[in-house]
Amino acid sequence: MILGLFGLLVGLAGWHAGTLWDTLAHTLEKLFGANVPYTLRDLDFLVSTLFLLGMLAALVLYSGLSCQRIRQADRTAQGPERQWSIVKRQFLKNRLAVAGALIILALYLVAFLCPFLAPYDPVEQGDRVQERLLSPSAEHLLGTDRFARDVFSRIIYGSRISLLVGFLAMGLAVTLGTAVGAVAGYYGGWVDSVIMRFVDMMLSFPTLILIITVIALWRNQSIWIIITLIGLMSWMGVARLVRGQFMALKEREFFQAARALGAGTGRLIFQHLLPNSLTPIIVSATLRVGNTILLEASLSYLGLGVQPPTPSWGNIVYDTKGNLFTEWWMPLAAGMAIVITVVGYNLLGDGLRDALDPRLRE
Amino acid sequence: MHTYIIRRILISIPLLFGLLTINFFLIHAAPGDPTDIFYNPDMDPEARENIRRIYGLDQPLGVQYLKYIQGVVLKFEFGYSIAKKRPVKDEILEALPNTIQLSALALLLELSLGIGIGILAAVKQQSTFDNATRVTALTFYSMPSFYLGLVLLFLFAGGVSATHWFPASGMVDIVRHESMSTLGRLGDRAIHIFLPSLTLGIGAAAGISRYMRGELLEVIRQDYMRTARAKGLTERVVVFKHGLRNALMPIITIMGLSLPFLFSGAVIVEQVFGWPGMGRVAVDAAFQRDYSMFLAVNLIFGAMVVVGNLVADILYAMVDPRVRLS
Amino acid sequence: MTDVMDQTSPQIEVRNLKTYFYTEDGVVRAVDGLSYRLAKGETLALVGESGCGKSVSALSVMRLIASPGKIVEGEILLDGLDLLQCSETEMREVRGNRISMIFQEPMTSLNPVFTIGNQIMEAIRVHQDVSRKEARDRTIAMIRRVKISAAETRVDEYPHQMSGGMRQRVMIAMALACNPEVLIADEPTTALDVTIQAQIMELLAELQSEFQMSILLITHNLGLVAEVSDQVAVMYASKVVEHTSTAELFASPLHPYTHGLLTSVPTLGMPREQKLNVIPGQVPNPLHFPTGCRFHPRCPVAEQRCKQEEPLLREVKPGHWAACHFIENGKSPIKGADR
Repeated sequence: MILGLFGLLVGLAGWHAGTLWDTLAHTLEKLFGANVPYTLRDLDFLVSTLFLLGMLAALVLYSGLSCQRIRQADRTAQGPERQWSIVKRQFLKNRLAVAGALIILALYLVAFLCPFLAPYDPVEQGDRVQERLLSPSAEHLLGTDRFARDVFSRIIYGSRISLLVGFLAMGLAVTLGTAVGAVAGYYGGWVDSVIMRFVDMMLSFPTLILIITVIALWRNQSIWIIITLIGLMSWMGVARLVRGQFMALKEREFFQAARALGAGTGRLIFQHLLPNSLTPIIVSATLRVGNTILLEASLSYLGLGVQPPTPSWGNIVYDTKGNLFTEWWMPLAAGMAIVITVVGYNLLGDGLRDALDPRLRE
Repeated sequence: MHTYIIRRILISIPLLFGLLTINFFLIHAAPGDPTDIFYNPDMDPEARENIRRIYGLDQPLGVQYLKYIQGVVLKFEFGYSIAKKRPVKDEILEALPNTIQLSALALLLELSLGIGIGILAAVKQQSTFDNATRVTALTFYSMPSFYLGLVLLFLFAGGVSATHWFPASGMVDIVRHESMSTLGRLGDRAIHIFLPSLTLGIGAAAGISRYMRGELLEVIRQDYMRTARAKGLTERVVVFKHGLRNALMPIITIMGLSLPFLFSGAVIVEQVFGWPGMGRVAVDAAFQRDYSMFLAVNLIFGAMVVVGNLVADILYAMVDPRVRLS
Repeated sequence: MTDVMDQTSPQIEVRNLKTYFYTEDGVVRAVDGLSYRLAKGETLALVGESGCGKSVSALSVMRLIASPGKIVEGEILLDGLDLLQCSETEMREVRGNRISMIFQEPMTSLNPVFTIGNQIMEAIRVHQDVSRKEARDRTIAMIRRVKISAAETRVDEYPHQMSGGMRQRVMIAMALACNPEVLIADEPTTALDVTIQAQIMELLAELQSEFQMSILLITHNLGLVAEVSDQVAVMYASKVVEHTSTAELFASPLHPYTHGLLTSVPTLGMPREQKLNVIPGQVPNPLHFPTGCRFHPRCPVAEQRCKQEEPLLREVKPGHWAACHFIENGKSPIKGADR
């Protein structure tokens, strides 16, 4: 677990440096020559997402194993298999949740397969005179923008930014929130008071304005800075949640027993408290992805997010909002992509919550 | 009750100071300097020092900090905006009422729409209405406010000529407003504020309706609801007298907590509809790197959230006897 | 001995009541053919393990069964009026007015945001056309009657300011505010301390003779049954397995299940070396009741016949009804059951 969290942080730091991936990309380019359909930027996305997915899989596996251990120790009537089958059945029964999961899956596929799906290069500008602001046609499904770029291709490539931001910022927020919440919940007393007052204060900031401030003053609009900032501004909810879970779990018999047996702090937290808190953490993480995507989109819409020519759904809307009354399909289609993605994540999160939270299961 | 309120106010004060302090040092830790706006390569270093002295930037940070606090607390002064060439206070006093107007109307919409739909959905649980509103609420909840704004703009403010009913931007009709009658002016303001407040309100209402539905469903399961039915009360009295009061209490807290989102939304909506409020000030400040303006904007929004939460907590204490009498 | 099934004019009579829950996993037959009669001023105890359907049967009488539950069959006659034929409006006239109910959990059964006076007054004003002032006076009188001191000040207190025992007294005051003919007490003392339990039961007995009401007492506590009830119906797996007067039941339990229940409770003066009886096995899953006699998997005297043929509740000796194939000549199939 420590390793997982640590790895997540190191990973984030790694991308900021970016060098590792550059080297990797160059190696691949040497290996395959110029025929590789993926560019350097694609690889960046690919590798980072795969890394994250691996990390997440490891986390889930770990939590599953720990929970199983605890359940065996508890000798509960319901075995883990039965528990999981209930969850699976509940989830699959919820057609909306399955739809959400499919949306997300489809989006990841699109993001991975951008070079094959997009008919044109998203940044390459066409003939500014002849191919500018074309209406939708068979060649340009959503027409072209004022730089004569194919809007459909740009929207396809834009999926990467949203998915990347959603995933990474959420990962950072959840890691940070879990750590802070765990400390507050485990130690309680004045430590808890101080931390929770700080959380209250962070919650009082309108997130967007603070991020605007930092971006504007530090004059850095790299995607990594934006992800970090969004992550740094979104951990408070998770912290509250984890703290509450820890507080409740501390009263439970299995924890009291473990403590009475002389288990150390690390063991208590990582073996007993954290695995038992993972379900609500995973649910709230899923529900939070949507918010981080919205935050990035809003920043880009204000022109303070991901910088052109890199396409992101938010900055496509920003770029084309002047054409709202004439070439309305451009901003509205890009915005629709955001809505669909966030709806997908929220459906998935709602479904997971209903399936995993026995209190709501009826 | 009184001790509770007093204690709650006392907690808010360090919160406000914390906000101010973090903001102050965060902004002063930024690379560069407010005077960069005057910077050109040919500038004499001495002239630059002069400018810095005029704005008090040559003093130690601690002194600047104390002076700033003194100004804010005693005189509601937030320094001078170099970019706008006027005191920050003036700019804020101009923009703040507009934002409050917009947010208040949006809040009203959020509450009436959100609570109303939430109640209906909970009472008719699993009905077509319930399922339809759940999906609709989720969609609006998942929608960036600028997108909703653009869609409304497109539909009702110019994109579709048949339904071009509302102006696309501004607070009033700049050309004709002055020549209107009192009633006309009011109407002019109303049609201008309608779309922005609707945009801001709908998104927030979607969230509230989800909470409201959940809370009411939770309350309906409680033992005291069965007691109320066993007394022979009608289902309407049971739900609306015994259920609603209990279900509304957590909504008060949630509302307080949702204020930062409302204000964040206001920044975007003001941008979409050209509404001259704090959000516009903030975005302008971002592009002009207006340090003192940032500090003030963050502070004002933070203070509004803190005060909003304080009000929510006091309201909560007033309706919940368990808090009021402890 | 009271003749339990043959009174001439019962205050309330339940005939063949069936309440089923249509869940996703199947039909739960929570109450499956329950019948009893209760005379004015009399107490019937409905006894059984948790989940045997006793609480559902009580809520059925109030017609407070919520979806997916449904009363599928039967009659509930309150002084000759069939409650199952009543409209919802007519039913509201009955609830809290002619039949009242008190619940197991006094801590959560009162609305936390209204004063107790407010909640009692509500019961009075919904059924009787009285002024606020009068309702309040009667509320105070009622609070006094359930032996809460300083009624004039406590009337304006909130539930959270009171102890569990006090809250149960408030519940009783609320239930009796309209002078009901029947009081259903669903495990009224289970959540309370032992000393408080005795006080509450004493209070109920006192108020019963004062108001001349019939009480349907739902409990799993056999000690309570022996103390206050006139007749007892023992429920197992949604059905009544034995029904007779309290004295008769304790003197000669005939059904093997009743016998098991009674011998699983320690009694004073019991020889120390005598072991407590344990009923083997578990309460059956209401989704899949055993065939034949529902008790057969746990019954010490079960035979092949019990698996196939369901025993009917029959009068095995005058005034004593039981549902077991092997009761002959009013003798229990279990040796030494007659004490």
